[in-house]
Amino acid sequence: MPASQPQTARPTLEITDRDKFWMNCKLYQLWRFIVLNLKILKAVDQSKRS
Amino acid sequence: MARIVVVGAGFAGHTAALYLGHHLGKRHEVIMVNKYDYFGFVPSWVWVGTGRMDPQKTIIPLQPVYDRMHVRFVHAALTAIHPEPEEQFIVVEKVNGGGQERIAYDYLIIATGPYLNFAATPGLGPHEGHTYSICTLDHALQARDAYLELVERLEKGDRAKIVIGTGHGTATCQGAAFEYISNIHKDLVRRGLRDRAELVFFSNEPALGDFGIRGVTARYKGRLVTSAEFVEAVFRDFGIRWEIGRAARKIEPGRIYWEDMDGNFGETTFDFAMLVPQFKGHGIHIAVRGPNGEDLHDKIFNASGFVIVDGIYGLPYERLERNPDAWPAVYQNPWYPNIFAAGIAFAPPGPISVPHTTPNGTKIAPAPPRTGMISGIIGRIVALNVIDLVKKGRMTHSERMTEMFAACVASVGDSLWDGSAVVIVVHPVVPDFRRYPNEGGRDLFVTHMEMGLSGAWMKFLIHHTFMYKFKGLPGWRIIPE
Repeated sequence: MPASQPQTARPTLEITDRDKFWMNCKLYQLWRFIVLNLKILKAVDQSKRS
Repeated sequence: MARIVVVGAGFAGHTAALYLGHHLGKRHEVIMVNKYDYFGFVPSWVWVGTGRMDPQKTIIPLQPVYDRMHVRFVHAALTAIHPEPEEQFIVVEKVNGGGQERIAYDYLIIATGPYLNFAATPGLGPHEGHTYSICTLDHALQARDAYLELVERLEKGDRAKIVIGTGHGTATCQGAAFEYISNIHKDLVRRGLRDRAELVFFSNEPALGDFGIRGVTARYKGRLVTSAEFVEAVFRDFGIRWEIGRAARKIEPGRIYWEDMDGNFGETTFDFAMLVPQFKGHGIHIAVRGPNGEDLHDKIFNASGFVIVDGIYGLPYERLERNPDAWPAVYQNPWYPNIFAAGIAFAPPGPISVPHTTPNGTKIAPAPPRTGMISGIIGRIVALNVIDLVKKGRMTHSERMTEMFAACVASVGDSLWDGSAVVIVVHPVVPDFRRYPNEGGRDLFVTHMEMGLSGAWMKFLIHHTFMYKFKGLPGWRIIPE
């Protein structure tokens, strides 16, 4: 494998201006914050029962 | 009355001590042995290392916490274990010249964390070498001072090359290096100095985003995306160059000598470098003796100083990756069932990432990460099993890393208004191709990658809730590890 700057075979993923808008949109990020927390809590609950 | 001794007050040991103190502290004796008299919240040291957080906000004095939790605190370092049934005591060397003390135990939990093996790479490290580290609080403060000096030079119009990554072919904690370089990028942008610094991520990973866990595949923007693609996109956006698949061989002032996966040799120059060293276990300098002075070291520690537990060791990688049961479930030593290990101290059965040996025989294989959340979970599992053994005589808890969930939040700056963080959620940490027969061997519903302001909020939340939890304040148990 080349040691630097490898290229993936798939279409290159780019962080676009549109992505950046959503990454800093407070309302959308509040929604993501809630989703992430629920996702983590669900997995943690599964772990706590082990 | 049972006596339980925990050695090491990091994520794993401190978590175990809190559970043990809560459940057993009043009727039994719980003892914590630690060479520092504070708990350090390691994930926030990336902010200390860029001068963005007061170090006092990342530490908790242990004595008041343990007084409240009915745990006796011994400020000392472990030097010897006498594990045979007729003895069962440890020898500790008290800090600040207090001499030695023998401490008898019924159950021993070894959670001594990593031994930072800077010596494996000549010239590496802040003490005798030419690079910095953020692996301890002292190291993070040294890195901060050097970084802020560099910033002063940049402000005067100088240009500089900053290299962040790993300093050995088998190093781990690439996630911490990723977070540190992202924070340096953000800090330099904030100061208006980004165009004067070249940032290079230098790592032993076979692919970007490997993180020692063989990378992550998750749904992103409507398709399956690998962490390699994701981190590449982030680095391209930040203007960070990367050099991966490289094992640092030697460091000289301003120069890293490396070997790549094809066996080629080369050099990378730097003005400031933070490189994570190889981790070994503290077992390399802990004696294990029998009643007649015989050496029993091999029964507890492997050659790298990690504690041998209930995993299946010695499998070739091709068999290990197909056998999720090879990973330990209860972290119990097979020779001495009253000895457990938690966190980085336990010996993993092998790497998670695909190992590689160069044509020159150099191993380039990121070691499995067992820090943070993983350490905390193992600390809880071990503590609950010891509580079970004391109360019921049998263990009822288990969690292999092939069943374990982990969330990694790598901040990009610390602002709650315009900060960001990469959030990576993985389940399980070690791919289980039997249960999840997909490309990544993981649950694609839970496994997740995203970047945004919500991650910065998450990081802030984690710092404050965990500092609360680790103080053992009311309700600490409802905060997950």
